Amino acid sequence: MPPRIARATTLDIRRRRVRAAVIVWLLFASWPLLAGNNYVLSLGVFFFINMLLIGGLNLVMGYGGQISLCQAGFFGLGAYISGVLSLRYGVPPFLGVLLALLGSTLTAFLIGLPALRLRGHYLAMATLGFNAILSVLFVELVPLTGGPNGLAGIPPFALVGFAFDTPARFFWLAWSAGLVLMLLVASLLASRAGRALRAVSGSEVAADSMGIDPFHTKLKAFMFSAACAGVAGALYAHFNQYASPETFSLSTSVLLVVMVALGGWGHYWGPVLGAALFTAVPELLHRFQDAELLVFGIGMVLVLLYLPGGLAGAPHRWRKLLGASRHSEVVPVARLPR
Amino acid sequence: MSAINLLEVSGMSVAFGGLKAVDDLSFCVAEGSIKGVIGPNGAGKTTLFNAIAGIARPISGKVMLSARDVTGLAPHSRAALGLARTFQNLQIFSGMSVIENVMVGRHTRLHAGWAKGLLGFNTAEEREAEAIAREKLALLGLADRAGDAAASLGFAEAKLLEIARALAAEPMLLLLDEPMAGVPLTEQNRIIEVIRQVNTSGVTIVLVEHNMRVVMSVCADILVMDHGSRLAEGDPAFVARHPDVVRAYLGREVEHA
Repeated sequence: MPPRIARATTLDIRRRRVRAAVIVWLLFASWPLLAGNNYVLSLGVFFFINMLLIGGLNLVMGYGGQISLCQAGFFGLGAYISGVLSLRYGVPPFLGVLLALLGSTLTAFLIGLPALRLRGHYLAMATLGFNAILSVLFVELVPLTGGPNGLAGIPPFALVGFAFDTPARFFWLAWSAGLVLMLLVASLLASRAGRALRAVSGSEVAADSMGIDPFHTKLKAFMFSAACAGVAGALYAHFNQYASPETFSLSTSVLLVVMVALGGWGHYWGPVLGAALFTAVPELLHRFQDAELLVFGIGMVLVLLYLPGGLAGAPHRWRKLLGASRHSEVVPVARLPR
Repeated sequence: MSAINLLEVSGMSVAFGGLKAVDDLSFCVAEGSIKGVIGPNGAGKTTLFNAIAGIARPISGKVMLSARDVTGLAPHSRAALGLARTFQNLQIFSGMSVIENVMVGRHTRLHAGWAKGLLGFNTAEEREAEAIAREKLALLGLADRAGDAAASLGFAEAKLLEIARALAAEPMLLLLDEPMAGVPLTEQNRIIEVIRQVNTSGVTIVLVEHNMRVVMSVCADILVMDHGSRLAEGDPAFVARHPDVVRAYLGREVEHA
């Protein structure tokens, strides 16, 4: 007989999530065997990079209830920090990744400081503006970024003399980064800080009265989310060995928000599903130009209307519709940020 | 009484536009006591609570908590000093489980920040927090709902959950805003029992309540508010006989009170 969920501790749930993440990642490890060629293999790499972007954003949006429209901006910041440093100044890529992480985190701190003091949609507006500013900088700072032509010739990632210069090698780097994020989030959700974040999105007044500083909580989530994007950007730059401004535009930020919603707003597995969609759908619709935007748009409307928990929330919803026991594991109810 | 005042409110006014919801109100709550706050609807009781907790900003006056001026402090800083509260209109974290709600109430007693949380270096703390949360849930008869979604609770259960969540902080001062409203009689008795028990363990309580039976039986000291200011203050017998109180509640002079 399975243990009654009512008895399951938050630590049990953490253990279960960690175990499930490790199993799923072991399955993902078979991708290099399944992928017939480098192109398909590199889709796997992009999947993990997208997962970092969506996973970070899910903390801010899904759990924290704040909309950030700058995830692509931080993605670009990470890509250009590491790309420019390694290409133009000979900084070793592993150091570049670290600096990309620090740079985007610090930038998020500086933007969040004024924007998160205010309640409501100020973060959405401030981040929207900031992504636009970054996009302009990526295009205009030609001597550094290469401007609209992009930054070409970024050196591959290398660690203690071992170069991750083929998709087969780089896959394991991206695979590890994705797994690390899943483990970090599993831990965070079973902690004082993770509960504080979810409490703030549930009721800011109540959270405040429980001793939680809503501003600090949101600021830290925003910084963590930017850190994820910074790392994703640096990995992208060294894998692709090329970065161009339109990758990091506002429309990418909007699409990432859509992916958080489609995958499952505030669900542990949401970012994995969101990243799968974000990576696979454009590939499947390659022949029809921009058809993925139509698909994502319709998907977003359908999810908002019929599946507020996104794909990750669907099993729970169906179980509920089928009238399963009320002692089922709590899957957070998706709530739209306000 | 020679007891120290845990809470002192002096000359407090809270205004919403032109309306003074609390008007130059002063009162004290002795450490270890249960203070009842009653008054007709719109008397300003909840606004008073919000001002004590830091959610409503008074236009004048002071709030002292254990002889410390907390007037300018944010709600979370006051919570850190040992103040916990429940809400009249429920403020449950509906996206979390019942026990997680109670564990949020424990926030000020826990220490792990983001770094420890992300790395999972909080196992001992989590275990302890969860044990205490379960204990509080059991106290309010919600033990078997621990793993359920908080959103699945009925109104009365959610009110009990709010109390459990406030108790998880093990506060010095507990503000209960109409805990009996909408709660069936058997559960009311449980709440009364919990209030007494928590008070005996040393927690000072301020209770806003409409239910006279409860207030009269639980509180040794009652503040009656009307139109944002103090109408009467004293023990239940005194307050019940006070002509102004009778007038405010019944709307006319009663000869033979």
